[in-house]
Amino acid sequence: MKILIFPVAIFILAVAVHLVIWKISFPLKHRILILINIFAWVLVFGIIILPDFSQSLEFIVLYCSLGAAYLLSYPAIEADSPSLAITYNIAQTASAGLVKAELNKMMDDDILVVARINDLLSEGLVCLRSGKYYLTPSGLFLAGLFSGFRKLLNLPKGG
Amino acid sequence: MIYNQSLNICLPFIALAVNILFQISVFRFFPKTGLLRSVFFGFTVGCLAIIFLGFGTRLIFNLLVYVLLGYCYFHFINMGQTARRIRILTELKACPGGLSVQEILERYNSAEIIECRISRLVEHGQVLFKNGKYYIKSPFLLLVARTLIILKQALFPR
Repeated sequence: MKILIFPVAIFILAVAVHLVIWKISFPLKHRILILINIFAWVLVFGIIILPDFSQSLEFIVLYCSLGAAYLLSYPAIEADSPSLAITYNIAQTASAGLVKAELNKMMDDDILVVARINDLLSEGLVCLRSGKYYLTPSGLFLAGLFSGFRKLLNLPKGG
Repeated sequence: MIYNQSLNICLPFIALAVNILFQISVFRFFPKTGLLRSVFFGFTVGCLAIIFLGFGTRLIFNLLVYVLLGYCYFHFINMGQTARRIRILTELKACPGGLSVQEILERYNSAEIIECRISRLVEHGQVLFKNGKYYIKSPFLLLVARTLIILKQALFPR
């Protein structure tokens, strides 16, 4: 049981550190990178105070798995999911219902696409030169990873 | 002892590899299965692999790590399928000469995003389309949306 409790406790500590930092000073840029740094430093702290060093490998594996699941979920919380926003907007009308034209007015290009381009810019995945967007090396790696995997599954463009 | 510990720690990763291989094979050779169902099958086979390969040795620990890794893999597939940022990156990858905002919007825009999502919501029984209007059919996604709003209010400044 000890093998489960300690990594989970350290993970909760990392989440708490994240929440406190976000409350004190919300970072406007490189949020994922900052989050990775928080989790990495709390991991180092966990290894230092680990009660039984023979279980360090188990601690690292479980903590990193929890951290990876959290880091992957974070962008979904940060960015408004269009499906959830559509559901919420329809619910706001109660029994009156909502026509598609109204939805298109509520959720335009600025909200759904341009805001995401700005996110990519602030995360350093794209750069802007003379009015055009280009992939940075990390953006190119990410795009290659996803398009390669989708090609392997024979899937069309996502989004 | 060290050998056993190292082998035991590898079990969730072996199960994840089994999961991925099975999911890809099922979806490639039986595309009618559907993406979500293939992910579910892959996850189940990985669970069985962990139970049979490492029965009795830290089963709960291995299962927990495997579930987390399986969740990450599901998220990876889901991001490729629905994430707008990934779609924009893919569009930019296809145009090494770069794209302006207008050019990106010609390839990917709010109308396409809404059309794709609303069809999916109707298809999956979350939303009802009647007499040219959309209504909530199932409260599940609405509950998720409200929970996320609360989480966002707690996490982000207004």
